[in-house]
Amino acid sequence: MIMQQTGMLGEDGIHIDMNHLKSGEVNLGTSIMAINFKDGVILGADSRTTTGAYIANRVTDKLTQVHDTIWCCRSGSAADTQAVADIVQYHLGMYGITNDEPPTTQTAAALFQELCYDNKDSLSAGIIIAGWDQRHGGQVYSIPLGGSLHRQAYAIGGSGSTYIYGYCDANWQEGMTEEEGIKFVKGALQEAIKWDGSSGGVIRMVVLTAKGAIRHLYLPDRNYEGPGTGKP
Amino acid sequence: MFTTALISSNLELHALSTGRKPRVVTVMTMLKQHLFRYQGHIGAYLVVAGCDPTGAHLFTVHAHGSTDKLPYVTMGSGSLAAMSVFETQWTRDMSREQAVKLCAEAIQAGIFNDLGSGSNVDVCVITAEKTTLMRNYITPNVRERKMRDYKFKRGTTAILDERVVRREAIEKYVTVEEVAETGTTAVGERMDVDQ
Repeated sequence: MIMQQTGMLGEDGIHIDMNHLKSGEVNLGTSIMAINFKDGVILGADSRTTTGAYIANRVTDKLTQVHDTIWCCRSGSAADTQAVADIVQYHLGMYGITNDEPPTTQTAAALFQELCYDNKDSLSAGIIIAGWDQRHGGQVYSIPLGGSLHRQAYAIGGSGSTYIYGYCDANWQEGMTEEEGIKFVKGALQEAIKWDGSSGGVIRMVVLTAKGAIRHLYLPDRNYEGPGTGKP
Repeated sequence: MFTTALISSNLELHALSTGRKPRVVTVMTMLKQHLFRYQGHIGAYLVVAGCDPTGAHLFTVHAHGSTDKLPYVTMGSGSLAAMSVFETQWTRDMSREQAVKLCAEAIQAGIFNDLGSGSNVDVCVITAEKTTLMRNYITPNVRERKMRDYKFKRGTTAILDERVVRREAIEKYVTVEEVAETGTTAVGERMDVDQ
């Protein structure tokens, strides 16, 4: 099979074929985000995975742990992002053991970038990396389709993110408390789910601080108000 | 079929080399890494289920190498019909009998509503102790007896000519070649066997 080139330089600029996903591929047409707050970072995601118009999984977990307090949000092809996250998880596990010290978020982000950039022609993966480490505290990195790496105060991604650029820009505040951060992420993802047909289901969150990782769950049948960290 | 046989073989070797019981996640990981390498060209869509020392697990694996872990799963062209049964009737703590009945009903929904699915229902129950495969657990499509006999009566076809061809007549088309007796030559390739 001849692999089609993903980018082309025409007279009127660069054209990129965004619809080069293999047919029948499982897709994470997603809303994902990660933010910095006073004590660390919060990751958030919807829970919808689709194959065409069919929802293959309505309770997907797109927040994936790659080390104790380094997590990532996955968007794009489910197979590609799972494969990349599995490889990074392996490398960080080895790093932690051989150096007798947990890896930094930057190290994790660099690993992700290398995989995403080197294989950019065959991957469709948009990943947000967020983590907490002893040296730098909370950090958020974003790796969009081409494999570039950006450190950001907060990052949004996936098809649903286009609807919430305005919301996030208007409501973002530096140094929020945990409660304010959760409210910000939940509010943004609620809007993304409302407007984006490829996003939906429950809202999942992970809070990363010096205390470790804590999962949150917000259900649509409770108007996304709970159960939070409690049992559903 | 080849993919599952290959993974099954490798899993057996893995279990032998680790000296432990194999886990469901191990099979799932082996399958997803194999399928991801082939970028979807191996068109295997699977439901992986089993019991291991860590408990009972249920996964789906897609041809491109993505996996899902869910409390109930369906796959294939009839998966939409089957899932609609699960989504309306599944509950967390069902008995063995209830679960078998629900699965059979989900498959029947596929048989009757999906053109790609048909004939009988097979059910397989896996517990920590043993696996029971119930082949043709439900047969909702038994062939009915035809109301009339459509066989032609003997002698319906008229015989116009009859000729007998003997072996001597075709022998001139056949060449016979003598081959050396087997087992007497080629000793150099005998397998080494531990004594």
